[in-house]
Amino acid sequence: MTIDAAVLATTPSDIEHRNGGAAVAETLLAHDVDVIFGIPGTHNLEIYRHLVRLGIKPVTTRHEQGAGYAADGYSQVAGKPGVVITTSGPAVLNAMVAAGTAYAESRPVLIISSGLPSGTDYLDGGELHDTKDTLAAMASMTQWSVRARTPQEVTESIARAFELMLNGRPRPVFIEIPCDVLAEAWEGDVVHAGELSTPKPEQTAVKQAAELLRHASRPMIIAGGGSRGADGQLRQLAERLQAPVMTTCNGKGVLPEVHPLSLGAHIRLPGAQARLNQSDALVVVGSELSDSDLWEGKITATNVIRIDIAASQLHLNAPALVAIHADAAEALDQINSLLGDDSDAADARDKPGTKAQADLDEFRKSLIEEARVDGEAWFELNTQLRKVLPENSIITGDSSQVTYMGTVHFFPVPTKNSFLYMPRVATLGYAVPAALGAKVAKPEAAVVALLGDGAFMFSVQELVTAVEQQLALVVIVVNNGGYREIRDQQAARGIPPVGVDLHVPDLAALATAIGAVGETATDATDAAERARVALSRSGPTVISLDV
Amino acid sequence: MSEQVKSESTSLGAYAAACLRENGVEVVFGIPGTHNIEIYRGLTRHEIRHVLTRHEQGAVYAADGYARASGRPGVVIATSGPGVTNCITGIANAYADSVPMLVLSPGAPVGQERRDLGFLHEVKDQRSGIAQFAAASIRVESRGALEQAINGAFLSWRTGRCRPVHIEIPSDLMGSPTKGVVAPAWLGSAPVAPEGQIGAVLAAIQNARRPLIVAGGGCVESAAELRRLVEATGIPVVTTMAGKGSLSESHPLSCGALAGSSTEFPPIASADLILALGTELKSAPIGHETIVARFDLDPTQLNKHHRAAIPVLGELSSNLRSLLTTLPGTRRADPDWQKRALDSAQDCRRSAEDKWAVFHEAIALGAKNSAPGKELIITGDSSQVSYQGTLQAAVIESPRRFLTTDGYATLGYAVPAAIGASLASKGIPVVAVLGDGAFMFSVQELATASELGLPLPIVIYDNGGYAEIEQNMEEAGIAPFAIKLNRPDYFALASAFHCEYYSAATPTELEAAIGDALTDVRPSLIVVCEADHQNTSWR
Repeated sequence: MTIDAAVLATTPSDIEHRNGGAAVAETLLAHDVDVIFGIPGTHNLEIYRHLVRLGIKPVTTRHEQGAGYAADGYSQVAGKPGVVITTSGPAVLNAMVAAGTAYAESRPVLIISSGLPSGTDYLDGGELHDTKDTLAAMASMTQWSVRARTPQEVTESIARAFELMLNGRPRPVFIEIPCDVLAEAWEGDVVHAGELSTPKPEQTAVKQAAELLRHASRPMIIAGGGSRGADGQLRQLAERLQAPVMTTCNGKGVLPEVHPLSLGAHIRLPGAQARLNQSDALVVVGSELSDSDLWEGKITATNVIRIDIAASQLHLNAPALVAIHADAAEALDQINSLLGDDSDAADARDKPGTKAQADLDEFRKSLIEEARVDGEAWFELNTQLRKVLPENSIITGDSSQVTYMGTVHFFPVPTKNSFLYMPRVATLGYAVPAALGAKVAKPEAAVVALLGDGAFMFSVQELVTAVEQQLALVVIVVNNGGYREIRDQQAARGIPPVGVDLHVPDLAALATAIGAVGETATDATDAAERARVALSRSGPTVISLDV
Repeated sequence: MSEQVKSESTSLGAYAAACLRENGVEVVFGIPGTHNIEIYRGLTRHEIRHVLTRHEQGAVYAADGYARASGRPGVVIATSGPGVTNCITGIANAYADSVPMLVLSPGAPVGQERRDLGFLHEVKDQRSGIAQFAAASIRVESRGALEQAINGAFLSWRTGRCRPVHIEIPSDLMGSPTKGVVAPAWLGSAPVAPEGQIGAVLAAIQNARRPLIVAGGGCVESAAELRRLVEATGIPVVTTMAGKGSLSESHPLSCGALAGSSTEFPPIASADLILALGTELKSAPIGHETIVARFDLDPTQLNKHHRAAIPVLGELSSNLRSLLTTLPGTRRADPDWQKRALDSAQDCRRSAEDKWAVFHEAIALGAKNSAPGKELIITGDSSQVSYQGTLQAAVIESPRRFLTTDGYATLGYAVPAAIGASLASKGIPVVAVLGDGAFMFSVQELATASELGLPLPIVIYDNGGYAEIEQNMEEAGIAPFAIKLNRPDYFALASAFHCEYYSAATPTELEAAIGDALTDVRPSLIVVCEADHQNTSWR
């Protein structure tokens, strides 16, 4: 059905129904929300009633897991929070793994659900969708989990959620609204999120950092997910210091990966870490430096400058010599201005095209060689794709070898938020719905999901959503017949393969059944070429490649 | 198992499998991951069959279906973080519907819980998240703690209300060596009620003029006792959805299953005695004068929603047997009252039967033709075809034969539950019956069913989306939107998953398709379109 028809059909009665549901929709609109991902259910209809009237587009997924991951992908590409609307009970729990993902990866995702009727919680009384304690469970997966008990609390809670997601470290929020509150009349006004107030850099620390960098002979930069709002400043600092930049997976592309100072996102490699640990002034911007970034490695450099919006991260996993608790862009701006245009440090070092740059180019090549040791199987496909896809394509990945041993290393991207992935939580079934969310956020972008067959099956139903929404996604599934990584690990421990060899459906036929274009590629070059052609279709394409 | 095998050294993760084996576990459902593979080492060693699903959601629903079909606990192996988080909806569903289930997973390494360090699969707080939906979420860090947790969970299901339990082993301890004799399973049984309470029930039965039995999910192990009670007293029986089939629905005193519409079943309000057997009695409009005798294994249920005039705590079959020994000579229920109850039930079911009886007869006939003498198991979903159709229009002869999500009303249950039920009940035909919206929630498990070569008919009633929600929207004066779903080409979908496909436009075609599908070596999708179903041949 068309939205226009719905607007005409619903407007008069909906204005009479200004209620808790209207408080949700009106407050979302006031916070610049124009798309939500979710599934309508018996208990959340009073929210849906008002969405269309206000021009908020609902994208109905086939599982709330998909809605959550789509909102996650959407938030990165749209540069604003992603919103999920579910019904109570199983629907919320279906979205829980997406909440856990948004928490682990620091993504601003707001999940709003209907709840049991007021006063029936915790009675274990057998209400429809009765669960033990949804709120507490979501509290264990989000930064804030709250029940809004009146329509006015609904608008207040949503405003507060936006403050939390937009200030400080972005993490998910869950708001539950009892179904009777959604239907309760509301005469109040929409509450707006307060002014942003991020912590300002402390001056002594900034000066210390600048001083350390001014005298460093081997400065380097690690750019994490938290540096994405500071790409300009980071580039300026890197160029000013001629400091090579290594990113984490979530920071991939913050400095264009074709930039002469970029060392890509190879941070998991021991060779990369060895180089970082030789630095005499290592700037770490917005990163946990966690084990899921470093794969059992460690940052041991002593002169570490850490910039983080979350105080709890400033010394986590690697103690900082200088800790700056601030918005990354502001902190880097101040360091840049203290360093000035022509400090001694810059002159003391070589310029591009010189011996230092030649060394760096050599080192970059060695990193690719190192990545190819365990990622050789994924080199060609990623390389071919990079050749044929438009420069500003968005590529999504999954907990598949083709992603973490492939795309991370062999698919250089020119900007932040071009590679959507979740290295810490390492869920399965992320790439397709995240790509869907990305495409909704930026319809003009080329969006490609590249993943393994095991991961693909986790959210295969969302292909139907892509067909329904007429999104020209390209999904490339590398088919190795199951959970290859786990099979390898079992073999390494002398455990015979169990539960890892999967019966895989005919993927091209499956895609066709769902209304997408399904194709089988013969090799990496063929797959890449098919992907290029698929970008100009009006709906999704699945390209299966046996490996 | 020989003593030599029992005392060999192994890893803590593999030892979990040894404990499962001691508790009689033969099949587990799950997905291996980096952190849980030591458990898999044990599965192989202890010859526990592992059924690999395509999403942990499918593993929990399959374990649930296995448990409901067999009465034996369902066991799930998941990995940490997203793996076990994917299980949560299924855990909550098992909690709401009182299903015995164990979910075993790795947890954060020792000392790293809730520290937000950024290790692989780290979530904010895995265990307290799951604890909100399970009877318990237990972290074990030693051999002793592990065997205590596993044995304790299995004992709790033999002695009390069944609810899911999660056990996690820190991922860094999974591979730690351990040695010793495998701990045997714990013994124990459920309590029974004191004699005085049984006597009070007897007196109430003797004084009652309009007695009614409401049999819930707690009654499925007591079908024989229930039947004897009914035959000794002539009291009519209505069941809830979870209790469906506890008394054969072809029995002359069966009022069928009326959950969801119990508020519209007048005898509940007019009865002067209700014997509530293992049920929450949710939203039953019981009169103030009515004496309610409640039999329940869970003390927290004895007075819930309605105060029990006579609370009978303990194991239902034993308590019913005690009651039966006192019954000879009891006067039988008034035939007029019996007729009134049965007629009311008929009235309540009428619209569902008009729409769905022929549909379910065709399924039953198809099954009968291909597996004579075996009673069918039907799995359902939160689909209208299940909670309106199968619930009220299918005639079910015994308990554990209609497996569906009840109060929790999740989506995506029927297909994985049918996989679990198929593995629990060899030789018994299993059919999944569900709507198209629910089907998409767990479509990936077609690959599992296909891999297992299950002769599983999956009947999809295709009404083009979320029909229930569409009706709700219309009733609320909202022009329906976001509920019309773009649907797959089922024929092509079936062949992509190496399944058979049938389109059934008439009851005869449905019957034939079920018959063929049950003798196949792979699953079948059987699609009945709402448009065809309007045809008079289905009435």
